[in-house]
Amino acid sequence: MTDQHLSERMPGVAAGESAWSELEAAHLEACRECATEWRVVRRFAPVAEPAIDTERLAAQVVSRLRQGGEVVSLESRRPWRRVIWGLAAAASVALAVAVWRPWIGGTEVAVAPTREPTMLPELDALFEAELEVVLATLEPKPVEPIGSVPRIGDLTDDELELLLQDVEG
Amino acid sequence: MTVASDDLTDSQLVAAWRGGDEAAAAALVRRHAKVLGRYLLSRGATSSDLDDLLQETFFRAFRGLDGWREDAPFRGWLFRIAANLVRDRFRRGGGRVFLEIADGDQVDEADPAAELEADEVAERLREGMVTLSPMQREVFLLRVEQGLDYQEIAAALETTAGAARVHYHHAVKRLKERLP
Repeated sequence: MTDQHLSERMPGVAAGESAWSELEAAHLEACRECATEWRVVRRFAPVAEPAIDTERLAAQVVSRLRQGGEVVSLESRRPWRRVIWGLAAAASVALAVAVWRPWIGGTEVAVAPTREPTMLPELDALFEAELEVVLATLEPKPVEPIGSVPRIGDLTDDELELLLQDVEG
Repeated sequence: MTVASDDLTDSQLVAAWRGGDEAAAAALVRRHAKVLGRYLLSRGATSSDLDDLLQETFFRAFRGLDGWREDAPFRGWLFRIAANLVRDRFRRGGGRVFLEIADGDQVDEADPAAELEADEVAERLREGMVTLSPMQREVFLLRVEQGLDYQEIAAALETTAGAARVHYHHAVKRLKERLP
């Protein structure tokens, strides 16, 4: 019986996979070095395995393998990513509407690239760093001088129709 | 061909999967999912993350078999992929390790002095873990907390079994020094 032998056995015994033999137990009682090591090891013994539906998991993995999908970043599977893309699309529409708005009041007011009030409560769930990512995707394009934006009177009937559809949904 | 027997070794099941046997892949998932789940939870995954992380780990393991050395334990390969996944996941937070230090001294709750001493031992071990090198800490936890052998640890951490053994014994020595 050596300290090395006992040391190698400790993780397994701590995990409940095996038990000390009488000889080992006697050594453990007599050897201070081994007893101290045992105090360390058994404090880190494995916790219970989590409850996992292994049948379902196996079916999911096999299904994905069968489909031959690509490895994807877990981050790209996060729901808030979809929110970002949705928000980016909404912002594009908002920006387009903002650019088309100068006829209102007819004054030479600079068109601010402000975001339309959004109705996306999902944003509330994002962390600050994630909101910064969202904002980065919304970086506005430089707004053209007001003079170059067509006035409502310059639009054709078809363009007016499209504009109304955008505004009225 | 369908071989899905739980009596087969991991290597045999991998070979069967490579030969087109989906049931062999399913058997490997069933065999390793729980221990891998326990590892992921110990590294900061939440219960709600667990399914995604497990599915992704197995998927990447099967899809990336070209990167697996066949003489290395398959479970070590799984742990390596899982470790990379959680590392990527928590990169912004610098990684997280959750230590569960058990009440291993069978403290008599009616004895406040013994309880206090047990708390002190746990605290000393926590402090001791912080002083270990990342490799020592990871090897120690894979060995003691996850029950991997040195070959599996070597496969998980891309090192040799001999080096893993040395790291483990250094870690144990330093933790022992912490105890009264």
